[in-house]
Amino acid sequence: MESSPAVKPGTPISLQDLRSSELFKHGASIRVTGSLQSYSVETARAVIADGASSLVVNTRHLSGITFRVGCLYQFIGELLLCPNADTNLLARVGRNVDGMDLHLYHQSLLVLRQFEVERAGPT
Amino acid sequence: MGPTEDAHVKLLARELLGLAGRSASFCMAGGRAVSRAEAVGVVVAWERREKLIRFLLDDGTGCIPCVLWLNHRLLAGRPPGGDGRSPAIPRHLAGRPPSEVEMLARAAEGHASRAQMGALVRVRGRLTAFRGTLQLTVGGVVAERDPNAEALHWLQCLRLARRCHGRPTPPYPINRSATGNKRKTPSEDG
Repeated sequence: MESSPAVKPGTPISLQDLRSSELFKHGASIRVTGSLQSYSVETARAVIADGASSLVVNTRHLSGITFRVGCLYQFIGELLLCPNADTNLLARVGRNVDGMDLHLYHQSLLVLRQFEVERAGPT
Repeated sequence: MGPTEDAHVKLLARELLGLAGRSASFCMAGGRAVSRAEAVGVVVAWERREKLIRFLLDDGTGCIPCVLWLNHRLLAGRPPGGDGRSPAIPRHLAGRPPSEVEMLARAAEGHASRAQMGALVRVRGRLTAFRGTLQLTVGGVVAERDPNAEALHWLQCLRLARRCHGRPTPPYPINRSATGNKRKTPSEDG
């Protein structure tokens, strides 16, 4: 049986791995998590970071979220690679994830990827 | 009946959407039958209609189409056998007093209020098919307050998939002598 949701799933990826990943392409649906470094109400432009890696997030489609610098946020959206501007994520969903154990999250993500590779491989 | 057939099986979206079958009978890659599922994810699309709510649940491996019916009061007013134009009252509402139907309707509205856009939720429901597409007919929605709940759900799904889902269903009742767990009787202890 086939599924036909028009919305693509946001593949979870850490900010550290994003730029070296095959997901780093224009239009890719991704899910990223990081602490808010800055937020501009005028431009709806947020910058999130995880360790030394950061990403610009365009939050113009989001509503009902209070942005506080230093808090953890997770965004799902499409990656926009612009030649003359910063790479940014056009977020369609966002939420505050304060309390998330990022180390545990990344470890779980690795196990999940490993499982998917196992399932995709020859049985 | 296998252990997974009537239980809410924790499944990743990729596994759930890959189930084989039709209508209300589905089976996993290992051959185990499954009719109900539990999933955890973020609501990434949401649409309210007169009698139902449709939403998409994204758990990072796929998007599960979910439907939550809000037509309890409407259905309860129908004759038990149907009136020829509209279908009969469904089994889960047949014979229930109006107060109980009202309670179920309110519960459904409560579940609907929790399935908000962008929320991390845990859903349980029946696997059904609509126009050739597998979907989850939701019976319950719980808003997850712990942001680590999703990662825990992934790990629980992987554990179940590795240890249980890929294996054939054991014969029931379990033959205790075959498992080596037979308790010694006092006379055997000697």
